[in-house]
Amino acid sequence: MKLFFRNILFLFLFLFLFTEIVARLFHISTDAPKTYKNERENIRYYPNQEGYWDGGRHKWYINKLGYPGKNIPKSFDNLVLLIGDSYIQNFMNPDSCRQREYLSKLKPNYNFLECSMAGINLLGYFEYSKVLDSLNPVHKIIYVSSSDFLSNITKKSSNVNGYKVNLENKVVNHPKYRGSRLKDIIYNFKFIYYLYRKNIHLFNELNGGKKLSDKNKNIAKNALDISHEDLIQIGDLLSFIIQNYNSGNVLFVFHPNSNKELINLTRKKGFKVFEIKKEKNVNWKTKKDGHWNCQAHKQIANQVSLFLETIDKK
Amino acid sequence: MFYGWWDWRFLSLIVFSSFVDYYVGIGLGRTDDPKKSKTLLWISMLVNLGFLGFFKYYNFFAESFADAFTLLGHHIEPSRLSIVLPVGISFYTFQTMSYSIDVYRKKLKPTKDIVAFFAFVSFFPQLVAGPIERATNLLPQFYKKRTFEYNKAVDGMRQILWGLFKKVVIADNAAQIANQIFNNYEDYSGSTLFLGAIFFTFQIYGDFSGYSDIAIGTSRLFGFNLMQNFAFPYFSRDIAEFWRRWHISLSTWFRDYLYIPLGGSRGSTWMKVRNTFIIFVVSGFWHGANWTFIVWGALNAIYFLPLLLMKKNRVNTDTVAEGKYLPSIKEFFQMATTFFITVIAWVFFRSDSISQALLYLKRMLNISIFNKFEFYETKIIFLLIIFILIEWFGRTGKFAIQKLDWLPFYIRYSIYSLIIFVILVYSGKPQEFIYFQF
Repeated sequence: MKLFFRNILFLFLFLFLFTEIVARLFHISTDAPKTYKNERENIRYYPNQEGYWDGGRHKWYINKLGYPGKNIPKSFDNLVLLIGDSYIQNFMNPDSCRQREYLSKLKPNYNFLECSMAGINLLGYFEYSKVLDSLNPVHKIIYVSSSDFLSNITKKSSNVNGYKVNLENKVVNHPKYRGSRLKDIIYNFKFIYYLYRKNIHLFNELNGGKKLSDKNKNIAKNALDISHEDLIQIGDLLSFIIQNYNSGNVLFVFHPNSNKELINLTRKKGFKVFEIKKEKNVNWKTKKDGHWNCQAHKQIANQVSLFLETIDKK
Repeated sequence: MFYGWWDWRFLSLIVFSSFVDYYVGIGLGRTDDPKKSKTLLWISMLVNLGFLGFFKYYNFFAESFADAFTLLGHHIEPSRLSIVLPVGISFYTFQTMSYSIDVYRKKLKPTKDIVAFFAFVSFFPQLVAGPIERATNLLPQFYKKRTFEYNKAVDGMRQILWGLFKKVVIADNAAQIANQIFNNYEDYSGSTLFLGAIFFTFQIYGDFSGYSDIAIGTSRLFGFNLMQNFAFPYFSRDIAEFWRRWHISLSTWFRDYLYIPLGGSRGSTWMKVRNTFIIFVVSGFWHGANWTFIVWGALNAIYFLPLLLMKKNRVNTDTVAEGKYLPSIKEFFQMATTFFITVIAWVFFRSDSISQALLYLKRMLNISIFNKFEFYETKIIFLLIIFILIEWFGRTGKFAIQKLDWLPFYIRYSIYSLIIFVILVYSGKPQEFIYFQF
C-alpha cells in the first residue's frame, strides 16, 4: 500500500508539472495585466505589457501610455478620447477590433486614444480622463450603460472598482485595489489559476456570495428599473460632475436598450447623447462572456462616426 | 449510510427486501419440499417485483388502463399517485432476486452471514446503477478477508479514470448537443437530427459504461471483482454480438432467469419468436415506465430474430479484427450497419413519446439527411474521434486503457496526466447519470 500511495503522490507531482507545461504552452489561462495605484489613487495598468487572451487566440496589449491597445496616435492634435469599461478595454477581441482602430479609418481627421479600465463606472471615467485633459481633447466619448450611473450612488453593485461619491460632502471615494492575495499567489500557477477561473462560481458560493450569474442578472434587471428617487440622485450626480470635472466636451454613447428616462435626463443636463442601435437578429455577443464581438464593435464604430459627423456639422 | 444519505425513508425498502431474501434463502436451505421451496421463491419474487411494480410502474399502468378505456369509447380518470422512484430499486431488487433463484436452483448455498448478505445487497459502488451482480460471484467475496493488492488497485484507478473520462468528457458534452437537438427537433434538418441521434448514442454509452467503469474500478480498490458490464458494444458486427456486449449484467440476468426458463432458443419457431420478444420487451420495460422503452425493446427483438432463426446469432463471438490494427472492409460494413440500426433504436429510447420518435425519424430519414449540419461542434467531434480510436485500440482489454503496463512509467504517467487534463478542461455541463432514473 505504501508503494501505491507513493506512486499516487508521484503522479500528482507529475500531473502538476505536465498541466503547468501544457497550460503555458497553449495559453489556456488568460494572462492578466499588472496594475498599480497611482498618486491620484486611480488603478492603472503598467505600460508596455502584452499577454495572451483565453486559449492563446490573440494577444492583448497595454501601450506605452498605460492604456489598452497596441497603438497610440502619432499626434494628439484633434484628439478624441474613447473612454469606457471592459467593453472598450476589449481584451476579449483581437487588437484590430478596437473602437480606436475602426474610428481611425472612418474619421481620419481625428486622432483617437482609448482610455479604459474594466469595471469602473461613471465617476471613474471622469477621474481617468482628468489626467488626459492636458492633451486638450476635442471630444471625450464615454461609452456608458445604465448601471454605470446607478453604481456611483446606490448599493446595487458590489463592484470594487467602482467610484462612489457622497453628494452631501462632495467626497469621492476611490475603489479598493483589486484582487485578493490568494488570487495573486494562484496566478503564478497557470493551470491552477485556470481551474480557479473556471470554477469561480463555486468559490463565490462557498464564500457565501450569490452566484455570479444571479448577481449579474440583478444588476442587469436593476439597470433597466430606475426609480424616481434614483433619477433625482443621478441628476445630482450629473450636476456634481458638471461642477467638478471638465465635461463640456463629453459625448455620452449609451449601450443599446439603455433606460430612456436616464438618457433624457443626461440630455437635459446639457450633455450630447447618442444611443447605439442594435438590429434584432444580429449577434453582438462574444461566445464566452457576452461582451461585444468584432462585428458589434465595427457596427458601433460606424454609428459613432455618424454621430461625430452630426456633432461636427453643428 | 450511503443509500440513506439520499433519502433515509427509502432505507426501509432495501432493508426489507434484503431481510425477505435473506430469510427466503435460509428457508430454502432448510427444506427439500418442492412446494415449500416454490412458495418461498414466490414470496421473494412478489416482494421484489411488487416494490418495483408499485414504485416504478403504478402510474404507467393506471394511465395505460385509462387510455385503453378511452379507445373503447369510455373515459375514466386514472388515479395517479405522486410516487418518488427510489434510487437503484431496479438494480438491487434484481440482485436480491438472483440470490433467491440461485439458492432455489441449488447453484448457491444460502448464507447465514447476515452482515455479508446485507453488504452484498447494498455494496455502494454498484448499488445505484449496477452492474447487477450475481450472488455466486459477489457474495463469496465478502466471506474472505481481502488484502491490499497493488496491481488490482492500479487497475482499479485506471478504470475509474477512464470511466470519469467517458462520463464527464464524452457523455456530458454529447448530452448538451443531443438535448438541444432532441428538444427542438422540429427546427432541424435530417442531417442534424442524425447527428443528434449519434450524439445521444455516445451520451448513453459514455454515461452508463462510464459509471460502470467507476463502480468496477472502485470495487477493485477494495479488492472486489465485479463483472464486466460493457465490452465495446459499438464495435459489434451484428445485433446479437451487440447484446452480448451491452449492459451485460442485465442481459445475462434476463437470459438466465427468464429466457432459458421459457425455453430459450429451443422448441418451435413460434416459441423462439415468442421468447425473443418477451425477453427484449421486458428488458425495454425494465428501463422505464413508458411505451417508448417497450418499442425500443421490440425493435431490438425484430433486429435479433432473423439472426436467431437463421442460427447466425453466435457467429461473431471473438473480438473484431483481433490482432490487427484495422478491420476488414466486410467487418467495417458490419459494424457500421449494426451501429446504424442501434442509433435508430436509441431514438425511441431518448424520445418522450412514440409519436415524437416517429416524427424525429421521419424528419431524419429523408432527403434532408444530406443537408449541411446546423451544428459545428468541432471540439466534441474531435474528442469523439479520439475516444473511438482509443476504444478501438484498447478493445482487447476489459476497458480501453487497461493494458498500459508495458509502457515506460513516464509515458504511462503522461497518458494519465493528459486524460486528467482533458477531464478538467473539457468537462461538459454536469448531467445526471441516465441510468440513475432506472
